Amino acid sequence: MNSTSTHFVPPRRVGIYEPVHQFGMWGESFKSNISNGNMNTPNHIIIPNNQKLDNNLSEDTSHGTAGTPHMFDQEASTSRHPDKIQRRLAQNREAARKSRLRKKAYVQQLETSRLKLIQLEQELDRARQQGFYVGNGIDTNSLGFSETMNPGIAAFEMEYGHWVEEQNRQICELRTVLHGHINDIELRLLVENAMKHYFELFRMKSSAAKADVFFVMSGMWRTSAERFFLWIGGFRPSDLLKVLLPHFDILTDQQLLDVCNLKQSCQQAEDALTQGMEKLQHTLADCVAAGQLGEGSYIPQVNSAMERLEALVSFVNQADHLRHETLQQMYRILTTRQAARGLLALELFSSSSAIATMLSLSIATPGTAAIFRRGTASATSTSSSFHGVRIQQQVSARVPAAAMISSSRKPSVVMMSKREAELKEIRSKTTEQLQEEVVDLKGELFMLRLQKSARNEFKSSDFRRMKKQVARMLTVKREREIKEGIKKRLSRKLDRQWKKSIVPRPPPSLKKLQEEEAAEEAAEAAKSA
Amino acid sequence: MDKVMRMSSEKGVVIFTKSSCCLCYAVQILFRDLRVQPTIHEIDNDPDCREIEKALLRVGCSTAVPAVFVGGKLVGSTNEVMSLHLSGSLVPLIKPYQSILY
Repeated sequence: MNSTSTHFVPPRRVGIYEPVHQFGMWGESFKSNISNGNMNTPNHIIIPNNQKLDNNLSEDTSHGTAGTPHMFDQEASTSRHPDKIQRRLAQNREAARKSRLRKKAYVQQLETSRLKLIQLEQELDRARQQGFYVGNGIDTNSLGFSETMNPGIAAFEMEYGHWVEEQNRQICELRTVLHGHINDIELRLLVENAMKHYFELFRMKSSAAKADVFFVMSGMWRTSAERFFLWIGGFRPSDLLKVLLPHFDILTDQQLLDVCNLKQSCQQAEDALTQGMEKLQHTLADCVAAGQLGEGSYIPQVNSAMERLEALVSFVNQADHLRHETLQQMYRILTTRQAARGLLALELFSSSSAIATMLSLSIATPGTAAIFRRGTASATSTSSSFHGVRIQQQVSARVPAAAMISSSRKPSVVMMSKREAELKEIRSKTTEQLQEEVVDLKGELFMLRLQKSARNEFKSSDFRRMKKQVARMLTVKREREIKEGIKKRLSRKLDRQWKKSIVPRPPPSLKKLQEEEAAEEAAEAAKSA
Repeated sequence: MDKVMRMSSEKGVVIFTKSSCCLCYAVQILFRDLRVQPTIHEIDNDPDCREIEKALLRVGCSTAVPAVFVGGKLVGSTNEVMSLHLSGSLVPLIKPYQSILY
């Protein structure tokens, strides 16, 4: 319908510009069309335009240069609605560009952090090597405090990891040995090794306390469940006794007496330390409040601050000493076999996995149990990975099972997820219907591709969605084939036949547009008539 | 030095402390729980603070304060006190000085 010589083809810009420009070119005849407020006209024109593109010759290069910038002037002169559309599209474009830039920046950031991570890991490996040879002798002064992670603490955490592994190994050995038969001498050796292992831990803690006392005090290297029972950077000695005592069936009178005395003195010592600790905390808080800790300008007060920190370290050491002594005394009082069983009981108490299983088993309803298991799984996963490794695997294995159980636990209320509902629908169709649907979907995909190339608005998620729908339908179709017993070669042959036989037809979305177009034209015809 | 000897050989339980030291406070609480009234010398109020500290270290205390003497004899610092207490030997040591209150 257009035969003007000034027909303009923007280089590779098949878009909304074309029809709008053509409106301007075609002049008044379409002005009325546009001024009717018909937003759909641009979209209508796209398809005929694309067909016409082949016929269009790029004439008049002066127009070509004048192209885009003048586009806006012409629009302003023609109508308001393409203006809005174009503004919207321009904003969309800007937004897309900005988001692309942001994504680029984010990716660069990720790359740099990745490199940094690799470096840190290498350093940790190096420190670990040193840790094997030097033991606890990693001096914090050597590396300074320039890193966010205290090197003494890093070394301690690594050592603690090894300690935990060794501990688990010893406990397993003790357990198997106790179930079987073992003579007292060997058992004694095992128990003494276990005791020494604990003492080793106290030693590690004391050197770590010199590096960062707050770290040790807060017990950050332990799992969250262990931290619940924390007292000055570890378990309470009185708790230790409480845990051990129920496990012993027979105690001689002397043993009972000794244990009672030990309990009492342990409690007294613990109370004394607790009160001393409170006083220290108060004084420390006063120091901080007075701005003495950490302020470089108050030189005379720095000494007292350092004293207080040293006092804190000495408290931690005292607490560990108390635990040490308690263990020692218990070992002295009990027989070897009782001591072995006591050690096992202690491990049970101090391991968060045990606490997690106890808690999850004690909850009656399965639903809440599922939630709780998930909760404990997340707790163990967020806490230090060293101790919680074993239970993580177990709990995570339980969680998907629980999730599946909970999802299918409600057959009365037919509340299926969206995906299940879609699948049901797909399965309810016959194979021919599926084929028709597939053809339709592929047509829609074609339409989407057209929109994309026309720089129109489209939902990019539609691509993925439709492709997956097609995949689902084809999968169901093939499933049915397999059930019938059609093997691969035959299936492929049938597929090829089908594909050859399909007739391209407009997909539903296009049909809708055409219908709308027809309806409009009818409406206009009625109006003008 | 002789001052330390003099003070420590007093009858009963003698503790050398510093007012700023919280471990000393803890030790005091412990003895109070054991119904003992220790004689407490705060050495930082004393003019010869440094001398006393050095003397205590020389006598054999791991840390100068708190230093505990029972009946003129050195028991030691917090570590030793705790160990003795948990092993049950502290109570017999201080038994003669325990008051018969509550």
